[in-house]
Amino acid sequence: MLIEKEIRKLARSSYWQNLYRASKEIGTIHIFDNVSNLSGLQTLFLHWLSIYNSLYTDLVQREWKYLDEEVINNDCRCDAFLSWRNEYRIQELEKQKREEKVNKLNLKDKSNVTTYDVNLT
Amino acid sequence: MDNAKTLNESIETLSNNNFNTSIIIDNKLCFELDNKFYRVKMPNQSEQSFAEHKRNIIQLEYLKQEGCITKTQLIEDLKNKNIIDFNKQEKIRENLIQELKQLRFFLATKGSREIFKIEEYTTKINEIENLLKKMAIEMAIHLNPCLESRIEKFYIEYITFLCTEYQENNEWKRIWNTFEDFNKDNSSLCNRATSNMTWLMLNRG
Repeated sequence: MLIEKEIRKLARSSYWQNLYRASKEIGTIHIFDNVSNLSGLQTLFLHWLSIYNSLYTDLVQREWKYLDEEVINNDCRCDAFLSWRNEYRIQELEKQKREEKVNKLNLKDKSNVTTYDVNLT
Repeated sequence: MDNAKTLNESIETLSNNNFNTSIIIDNKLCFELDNKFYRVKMPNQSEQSFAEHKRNIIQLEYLKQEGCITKTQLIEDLKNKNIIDFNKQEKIRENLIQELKQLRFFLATKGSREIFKIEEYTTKINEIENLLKKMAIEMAIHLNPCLESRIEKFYIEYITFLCTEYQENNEWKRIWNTFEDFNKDNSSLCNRATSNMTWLMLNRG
């Protein structure tokens, strides 16, 4: 879709990224001429603004080994990275939940857990 | 000389950017046809309610018509007549999406220096994405005669009739006075306006 390609190109540009950041900090700065009744294209643009904002934040913080500016500028690689990052985060969350469950149990030795170690009293 | 070239390039870039920005700067979409400027705009609350009211009326009218068929009935019919099996298509689609997910995983874990691998996975991803697009279009074409698609088509056309304007003496004026005028209009303007409205609204219908 050519129009979505255009929208993504605009959304990752420094001008719109700066405006987006400023509008989040200063309420009086508006991104669009209209403040309500957003078009579908504008909603899509906002979605990509926020996605690219998170990617640039991750890039600055060097959060991911495989994320660089080339990834951000290439739609196909960017989609792949977003899908992989999403999957990774879900797995991390599940891992965290499992660990929290184990920590909530009153265990003798947490490093070597079997059902016999659970103190049920 | 070099400066002039740079300046020209900058102006060109700026004007390109301006043009691109016009698709999101407000809730309107301008287009040019036969050297005239037109625009489609997002419907306001009253226009939207009016179009929704008309949509409800047309739904009742369609239901009374002979041969009116719902989406579920049409899917069943197409399957029984061996034209297209939507369940099978859905399974193929799911498999393709799974494959796409896997390829995206491989691509995501490649560093920018691995040019050949990146190219290989990108090509495969593009192929699958094109296949998915083709499937979606084919499915939509087959579903065209169903009640739901007809109602959706009517709604977008009605909104297009209400919200397409042309410029005259720096003023924007509505093109068609009645929906009948819109339906009678055989020029390419109707199609252009409808497709622009579809884009403008995307899934906000």
